[in-house]
Amino acid sequence: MDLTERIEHYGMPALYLLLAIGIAIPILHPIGLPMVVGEDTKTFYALVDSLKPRAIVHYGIDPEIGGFEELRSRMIAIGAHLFAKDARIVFAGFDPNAPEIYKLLINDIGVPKGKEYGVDYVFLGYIPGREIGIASYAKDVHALLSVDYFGTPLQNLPLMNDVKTIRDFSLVISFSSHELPINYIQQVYVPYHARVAVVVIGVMAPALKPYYPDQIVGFLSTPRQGAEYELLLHRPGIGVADFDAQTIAHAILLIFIVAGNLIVLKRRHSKRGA
Amino acid sequence: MSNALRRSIPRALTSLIGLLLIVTYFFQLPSSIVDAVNFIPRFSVVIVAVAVGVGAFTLLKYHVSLIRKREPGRWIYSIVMLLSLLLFVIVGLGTGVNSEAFSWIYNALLVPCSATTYAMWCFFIASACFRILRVRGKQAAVLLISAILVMLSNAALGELLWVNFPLIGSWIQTVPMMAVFRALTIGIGLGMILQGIRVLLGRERGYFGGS
Repeated sequence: MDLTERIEHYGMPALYLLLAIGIAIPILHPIGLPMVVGEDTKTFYALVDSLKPRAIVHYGIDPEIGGFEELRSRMIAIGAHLFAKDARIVFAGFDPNAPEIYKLLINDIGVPKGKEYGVDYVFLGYIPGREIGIASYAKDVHALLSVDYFGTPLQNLPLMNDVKTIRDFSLVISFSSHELPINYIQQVYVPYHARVAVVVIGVMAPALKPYYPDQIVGFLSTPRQGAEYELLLHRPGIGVADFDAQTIAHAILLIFIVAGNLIVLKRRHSKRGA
Repeated sequence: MSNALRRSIPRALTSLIGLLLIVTYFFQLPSSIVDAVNFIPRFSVVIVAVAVGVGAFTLLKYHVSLIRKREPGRWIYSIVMLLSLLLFVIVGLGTGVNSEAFSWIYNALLVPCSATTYAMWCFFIASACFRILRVRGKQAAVLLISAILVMLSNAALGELLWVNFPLIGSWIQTVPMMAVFRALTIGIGLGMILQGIRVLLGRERGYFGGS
């Protein structure tokens, strides 16, 4: 068995094994590889940073649980940034996983001392109906919901007394792993011209990118941007570890792609020789 | 109810509600009409919430039938599905959705299973890259080069090799890729408008079982 046959035969198991090791090590022991912060991350950061104190922000917990892990570092970093800017946050989700993700997320973000539920942040729970739910929420939150996720009447929550329609939000952010941000554009940006920012998983990037920067004012679509955001925030966390793992995985993959192409070239060369 | 009525009533209702929503969106109407029309989307949210319950019942019925028939290679998974469904319903109704028990079964069962399934993509994509990204022709070469450039721009590796790799990756995503997706988006948009017109005119029957 020559080298090309060996690569063809053992390539796949070796690739899987190396990927598993290459991803696990930096997640367990982050390396802190260098990175340049991209323009999209800087723009998003500036967008949150420019919010006035006590500005109201819609924080859309819209991912499925599988996609949540890819978004997690960005959701934590942006949540922490919003709290640090003294923004008032209305958490709500148009995906059924929103309530459980909220519980995980609020622990990860860590509510700063002095921030009070109902005054500085609220959680409205899962709102069914996807696009129609977003449209109704944008039109009149109080007509759609009478209580928050925990059953507290909205009129008893001081923050919700300052929110009636989507126009009352300084920024509307959707964190999603599917097409919901397009519904935000259709039902929040188009009728109300609200400022919509979108954070999605990598595979959704091509579908959302055409709307940036005209219809959406902030756009993050790669796990790398989670690490970049953490660096801008001076709060390195799981995003940095994810980025190390991604870099090593890409390096391994590139080596295997080159090896695969060497096989093709060698076979072509052998055919010509014959 | 006659067949004609079964079809014409839903069609007429759909057209009427669709027209009302469009007219109130584009024109200033008396507030009493606007308030009445605004009720429709809110009512739809309730219908969707009820539909989730109906969906769960249909799912239950379907999997019970698979178990009763002992459908080869499937009935055992139906038992797992039903047990999971019942576990969530019983714990959710019994202890409340904010209870620690409910959160625990969600975090200990659903989260790891979903995250694992999602993480498996890494291996599938890596396997596909290794097999497919090979220079077998000019088009394959373009695909290979683009893929490598985008990979280099997304990882620290690119910057370590050459500081401009991220810019090249960004250009690929913002110029050629975006051009293609804009064309697709416009095409889909036009299709949706035509579909909407067909629904309003009662020519689209698929949504109530027609063809």
